[in-house]
Amino acid sequence: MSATMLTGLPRTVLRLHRSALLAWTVFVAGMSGWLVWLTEVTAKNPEPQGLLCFDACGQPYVLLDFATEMQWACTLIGYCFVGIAAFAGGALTGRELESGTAQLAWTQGVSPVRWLAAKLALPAVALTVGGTVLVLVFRWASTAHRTQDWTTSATMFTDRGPLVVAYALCALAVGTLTGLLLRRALASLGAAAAVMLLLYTVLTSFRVHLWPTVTRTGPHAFDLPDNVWLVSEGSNAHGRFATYHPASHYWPLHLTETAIVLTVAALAVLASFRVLRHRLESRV
Amino acid sequence: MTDTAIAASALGKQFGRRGGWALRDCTFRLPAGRVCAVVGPNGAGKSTLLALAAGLLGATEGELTVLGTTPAEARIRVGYVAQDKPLYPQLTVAETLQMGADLNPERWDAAAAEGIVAAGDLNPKSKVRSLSGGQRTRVALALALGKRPELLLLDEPMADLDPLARHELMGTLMVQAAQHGTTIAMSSHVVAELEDSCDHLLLIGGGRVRLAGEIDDLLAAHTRVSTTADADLAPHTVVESRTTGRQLSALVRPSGPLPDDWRTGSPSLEELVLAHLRNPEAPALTPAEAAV
Amino acid sequence: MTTTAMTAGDLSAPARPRLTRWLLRLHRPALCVWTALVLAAAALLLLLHGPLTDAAAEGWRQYNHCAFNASCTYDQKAILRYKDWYNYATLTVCALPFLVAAWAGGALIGRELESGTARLAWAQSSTPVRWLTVRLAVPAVAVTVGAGLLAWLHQLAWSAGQGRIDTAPQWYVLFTFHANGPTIVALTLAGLAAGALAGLLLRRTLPALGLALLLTGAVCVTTQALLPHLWPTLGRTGPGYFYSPSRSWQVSGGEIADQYHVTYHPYSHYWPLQLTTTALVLAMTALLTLACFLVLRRLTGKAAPR
Repeated sequence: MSATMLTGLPRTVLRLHRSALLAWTVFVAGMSGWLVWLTEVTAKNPEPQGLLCFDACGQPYVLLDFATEMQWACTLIGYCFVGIAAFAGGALTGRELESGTAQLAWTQGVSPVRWLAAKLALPAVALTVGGTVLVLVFRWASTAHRTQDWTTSATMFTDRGPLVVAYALCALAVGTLTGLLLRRALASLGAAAAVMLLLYTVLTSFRVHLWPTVTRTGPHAFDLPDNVWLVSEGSNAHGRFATYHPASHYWPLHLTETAIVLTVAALAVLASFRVLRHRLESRV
Repeated sequence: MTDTAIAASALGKQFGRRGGWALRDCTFRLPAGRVCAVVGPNGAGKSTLLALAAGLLGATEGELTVLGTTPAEARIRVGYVAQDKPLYPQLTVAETLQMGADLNPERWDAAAAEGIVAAGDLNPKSKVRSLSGGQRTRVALALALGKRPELLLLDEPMADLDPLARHELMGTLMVQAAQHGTTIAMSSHVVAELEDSCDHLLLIGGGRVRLAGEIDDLLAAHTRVSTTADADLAPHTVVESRTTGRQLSALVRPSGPLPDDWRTGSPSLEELVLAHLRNPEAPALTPAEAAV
Repeated sequence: MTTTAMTAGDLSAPARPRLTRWLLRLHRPALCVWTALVLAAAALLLLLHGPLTDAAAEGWRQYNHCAFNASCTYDQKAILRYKDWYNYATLTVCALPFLVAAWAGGALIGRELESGTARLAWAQSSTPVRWLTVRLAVPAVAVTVGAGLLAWLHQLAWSAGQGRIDTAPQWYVLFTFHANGPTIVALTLAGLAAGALAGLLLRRTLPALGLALLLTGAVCVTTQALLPHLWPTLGRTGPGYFYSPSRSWQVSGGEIADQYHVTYHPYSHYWPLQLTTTALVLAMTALLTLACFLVLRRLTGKAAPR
């Protein structure tokens, strides 16, 4: 393990996936720039906010108002893991194994395990840094203008914390695993994206059960604060009841889901190394 | 049917608008019925020339006539095997041949194609994905020969084959040429393997034609001479000369009788090719040009 | 082959290479995935059209019956379930252009040019132009049938909820508008052409896949930006602020000389807007297809002068 190898392998991985790194940088910078623009310019202009402006509206047709644009930015950040899964399954591992360039690397004095470790570690760093930037910018933008709160949409819940980074890392691990299993660029690209979408859909539908809800009962109808996640309400023999997640449940819910996603990611990484080792041993 | 398989004049191909010229100012003629070796170092433009002749690339400048018409028109009568032997990995060997039959409905010779595959002990049910490089070459050749082409263009056809398969497939190709009058142009950088089977040579170097013509004519036009260092080689065309001590050895194209005191010999094809490749400034010799 | 019924034209007609058969064989997995996707989405839409809509409509009936009676209960789960599944179905239908673009750029064209199998196909008794024509026409048929079926079912499912489910989306809501009519078929065909163009331009699988998605996104954004202007809007002017009529899509609102003015598309503009949008997208598809053939000609040299 000479010093040149330590610098050589990361440099090679960076060179090979330079365009992917560029695309990720453009995405992070573009989304951040858009959010800053929305917050500093669009939101401060009273006219196109889709609000009732009575006699202040001199605007012609506005394609996207502030809330809609915010929701689009939120959706793009929340679903960026699909693109990451596609990259990891397609370009990072699947294509290399299909074309045989992975074996080329393994015969250049880089052990397959170190090859896989570098392929996972460097993108993981880039994703963590970029994802953190996105989360911070998004939190700043969404707290500056409270048009929507954490219960508005599934991605609004995701984008306000480390769950974005967790999904990105999970997509990287799952994509790597499908690439190693299928060894074909397009097949593993499709499989990785589909698996991640499925995981996201399942977790989103179970999200409400990740932390115990609060139940409030009363003889008469009552009002709940605006920013709670209402699960169910109705009446029984004792009067009205409502079960909900108060705003204080955001972090427990968010961190529980983050932990689950990171566990899936860790299992996928473990499985990737096992698949690699199994393949090398059975080849002998 | 014309007596010229390929005729090129001032042919050039540039990749990209500002890219380099892969081929420039190529003029030669390949008569029909010949087995032609297209020889040159790596990156000389051999593959580009074959792809142009197969009608798979458009020329940037110049004229190219294949089987008496444009390459695109002639494509249906031309067989082509690319250097990396592309095949659909998800098909089986039998399916690949079936595809050849379906895509060449008027020309397909199933017996010929199946014969080539059978000679390699290939299981028709195995997927192309699982084949070795040499086995893929065999399937690709079967696909090209099954088309019953009038002109067969082969890019490095023998590179992946073991000596036995190389010998056998070369024999198959020669039988094809003899029985059906097929013109074959095959590229290689291994000159020795072509010497026995080819009767025509096209030497390409640096994107230009260096030698073109019948191998016998080309060999006859050159002489290996050995004389004293102070001898004057003019007026003969010197391809290569080397002085060791007081001894001068050279490869020349005699333009008249050589002095009796020079020791002379006929060069081998490999010597001829290497001498031209080592000396890019040596003038080109393309006797066939006159016949265009 | 020597039947007397055969005309002279038949005798002289050469046997044509069976490109379609081999296209279907090579892309059998894609065809299977497409069929499965269409069937699954169709099943979901039928479910939405029948039981899910009925249950949600019953929930809304109970809710409206309750008025402000606090001790009243209604089937809230059915309403939420309808909303979720409606969104899944609509988003699936609207994702079709991107799925088809990714496949066309990656598997249909990009991979063939990268691995050289395109040249293998061109070296058979067929022309590159016919190769591309078949590669565009056959998937176009599959896409039209699949996307057309889903758009029709989506329209049925959406109509079933109108007037019965209070929160059902209006006709002009972005995804609902496209999923409901022929525009999605046109957009999916545009995705196919964009994918083919990306494949021919880049000639590498994964970059072509990425460019195909970008091109399709550009087509969608252009379409959406032009959509409200593709049919003349109606206008209303009056003192003070007021909304455009119910079920109409307000395009703009503003004050002109102390009078408030709105322009809008009433529901009766639904079909004119659908058809003009479809025509616009098909025109873009035609341009992309033309570009495909021009790029192919540049790749393989000019066709024989005839």
